[in-house]
Order: sequence, then C-alpha cells, then structure tokens
Amino acid sequence: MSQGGPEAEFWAGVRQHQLLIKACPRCGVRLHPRRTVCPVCGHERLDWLAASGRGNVYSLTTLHRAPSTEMEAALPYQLGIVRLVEDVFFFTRLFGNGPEALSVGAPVELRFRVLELGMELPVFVEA
Amino acid sequence: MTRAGGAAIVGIGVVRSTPEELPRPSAVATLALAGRRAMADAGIGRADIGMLLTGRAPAVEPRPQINLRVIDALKVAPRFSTEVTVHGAGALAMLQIAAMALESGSIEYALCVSGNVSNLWLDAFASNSVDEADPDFELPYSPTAVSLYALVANRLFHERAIQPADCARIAVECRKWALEHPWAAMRDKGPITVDDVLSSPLIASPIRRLDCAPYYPGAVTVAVVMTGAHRASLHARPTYVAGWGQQTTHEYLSERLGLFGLPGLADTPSFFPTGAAAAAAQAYAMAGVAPAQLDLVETSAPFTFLAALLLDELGIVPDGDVAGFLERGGIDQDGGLAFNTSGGYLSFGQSAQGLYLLLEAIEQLRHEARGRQVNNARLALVHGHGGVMSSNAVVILSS
Repeated sequence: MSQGGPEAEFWAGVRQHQLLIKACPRCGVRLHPRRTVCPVCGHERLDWLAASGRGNVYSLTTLHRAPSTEMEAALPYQLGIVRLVEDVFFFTRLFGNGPEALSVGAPVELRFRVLELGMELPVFVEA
Repeated sequence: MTRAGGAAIVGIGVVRSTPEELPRPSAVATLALAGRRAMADAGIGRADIGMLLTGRAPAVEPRPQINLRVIDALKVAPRFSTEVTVHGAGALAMLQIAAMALESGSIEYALCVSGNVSNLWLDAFASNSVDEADPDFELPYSPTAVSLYALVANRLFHERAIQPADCARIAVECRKWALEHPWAAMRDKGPITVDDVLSSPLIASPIRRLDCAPYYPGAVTVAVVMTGAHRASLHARPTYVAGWGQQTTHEYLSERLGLFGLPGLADTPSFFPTGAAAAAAQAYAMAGVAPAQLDLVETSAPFTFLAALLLDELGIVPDGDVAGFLERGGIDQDGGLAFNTSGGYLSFGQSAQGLYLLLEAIEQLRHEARGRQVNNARLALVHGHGGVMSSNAVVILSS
C-alpha cells in the first residue's frame, strides 16, 4: 500500500462498507479515489462522495493460473473492471449467481467480502 | 525517404547470453559489451560519444541511473545522458531522443544501449504482476500479468469482429519464422496449428498458453550508434531513421479508462486506441510513407490478440477487418506481409526491454538475415510497447 495520499481515507470508507469516489465541486466530474487534483478543470480540492454501488462489467477474465500458491485454491476466479453509473471505473473481483461466468456488459452491484488473502475488499456480484 | 536533417544508425552491437554461460555476466557488463561492439561496428572512438542513453534498467539492478554505470564501464564522457524509462517502449524512445539531439547539432554521435529483464538473473514469472498492477487498487485482488492483458482481449473480442481463432493464425505464422532463426526460443519446437493454439490450456480467459510469448531463455542485449543523416555516408552500412512517434496513455491499466476528453483517444473511456495508433501516424507522416509501402513489420506483442490489434492500429489493415486480412493470408510467411520475422515475442521469446526487434529489422535491411531474409527489404516499421499497453513507440527505418 502507498504511504500518504487519499488511499487511507478510501480504505477507511471500505471498513464502513462505503465505496468512496471523488467529485470535483467546480466542474462536477466524478473521479477515481486516487485523484487529488481535478485533471479536467484543474480545481485543487476534490470532495469525497459515496458511490451508488451500481454498474456494469466493462471487461473481465477468468484466471486459471494463480499469481501465488495462496490463491491456487481459489481457481478459477473472475477479475474485471466495473464501470459505475457515476462513470468511474474500478478494478475488482466478480461473482456470478450461478456456475456461468459473467459477461461484458452484465449489470453488477457492490458487496464487501473477505477474500482469500484475508483483506475485506469491495467486490461486485451479478445484479 | 531520408529526411533532410534526419538520423541514421551506423553501428550495432549485440550480446547474446545463454543460461549455460558461466560465470554469469552482470547486466551492466552485457550493456557495456554491447555498447563497445556498436562503437567498433561504427568505427568510432570514446571521444566521439556525445550522448549515452540506456533503456530502463533490468529489474535485477536495483540502483537507479544505470546509464552512469555504463559510462564508468566504457570510460566515455557524454554531453547528455539519461535512462529512458517508458517501460519496454523506452528502447525505441531512446532513438527518438537521440534523433532530436542529432538534429539540434549539439552532438555528433549517440550511443543507445538496452538490456532486459531476463530469467538469467531473476524469476520473471514471480515478479511480473507485482510490477504491472496498481499496488493499492489492483494488486489486492490477485491479478497475474496475463490476466491484465486478458481484460483488454475480452473487451476487444466484445467490440470487434475478431475472435481467438483468428488471432491463433498469428501464433502459427510467428512459429514458422522462428524455425528459421538460429537464436529463437522455439526454434526446435516444430510448427504449430490453429487447433494446437485453441486446445492449449487457458491461462486467463480468453488467453491460452500458445497465445502467450515465452520468456527468452537468456538475454539479448543490443546497442546502436546513431549519427546525423548527413554524416551517415561516412559509415559502411547506414540504416536511416525515417520517422518516429511515441505515446504514453497510462501507467496502470484501469487508469486508461479515466482518460477523459483527449483528442484521438475516443470520446468515451475505452482501452482503444492504444498509443500505438498515434505513434504510428506521426512516424508515417514524418517519413512520408504509407503502411502499404512497408516491406516488413516487427511488433512488440506478447499475446496474439495484441498483434491483431496492432495490425489495425499501425494502419496495416486500413478497413479494420483484421480477421478477414488474416484469413486471406495477410501475414502468412509464404506470400503475406513479412510480420515479426524473427518469430516475434510469440516464438523468438520475450526479451523485454531489449532492442532485439530493432536488431531484426536492421539485419533485414542490411540483407544479413540469413535463412529468413525478406526479398528486397528496404523499408521497415518497428513497434515497441511496455507496461500493460501503457507506452508505445514506433520507428520507421529505411536502407
């Protein structure tokens, strides 16, 4: 994890089961929580905003090889990028309702789950 | 096709290191040796070196500014020196910076050296996704490097009329070229078929094992000496740098989707186009040539789908129907465009930030590519990419 920056506040939100994004009070653009200055209009102060938690799958993949031995038992698992209705994109873990994998464009909604490595993370499930 | 005031490559140095070679050379030692060989090939001395550039340091070298250690090793005193660090694209980006400096008249010769991440010195499989994923917002979800590219592949297959079976043809043709290259990783593995690719194990859907580049077993370290085009005729076998371009769109893959409202990069957030399209457009305009005039194309594509995307973005398939182009034999070794003539990443093997794609193009343009020589090769495009499609660089070369 990075030191300093907005990440600490984002993860504090996760502990409260909130997915926090940024909003520019001047031009109104919604931004990923990483942002600290508005890249669109240059405004130097961004507001935090709790996201709706609703979105669609922009893309996804099912992993059949794990990056570490701890993750091998979780195979196969789905990772993806979700486009929130606020037009902010999050890299995430995906869970379908049945054995079928999700597909591009599928509607999904936010949940919080403790994953295999012990961290509670925002994930998305089939809506 | 040689621009007034352009630049030329007038010396090449190559060091191939194999896993059997003991004791193992250090990464700095291979960079220095390649550099010295390039100086000898160009017939220049230490005092001639006005600029020394290195690509990104091999991951095994934790100290920054490896360019300064190459200066120590070669005992040169350049007027300008830096690492050029836009991932693997930095290898070709060095040539662009050197060309600009040569055009300014502030230097007469530039030495560009790029080594690589190699399995000689580290376990690339274990380190890779840690280097390529955002440590805060991607890495906690346990991606692999392949899975990051697979997200791009699935989106491509969703948006366009191209499918894994079309892309598999690229692996088949790259293997044919590799069987002719004495150094290729897959030289002794025999030909493969589309069915072989489509029945190989899934790594991260839709990417299968034979859609992926193998890591090169060893290292290929390349150096080039460049000078102004007006001085090129003083040297035996110049290769002219006719055009170049570069674009970086992001560091971490999910950041690509937050890139709002920049001209040429789609109206809505999208993975496509990558920076390769803008880099190629600039290079063609600068060289004053069209894609149809190219005799050969070398691309930095560690996956079959990415090679297919590049055929579109580099302007080689003007109507965008890459599947149809491949089906009609567009890159068939027998009769198609000469594409990744060393076997490319897919069958020569990935030697990361090395300039080995450039080396292949120069050997072809010098008509020294024994066993795989493209007839009458005079104009070549070389593409380099790094990060997860983060940085793209293109150079057009002419003999």
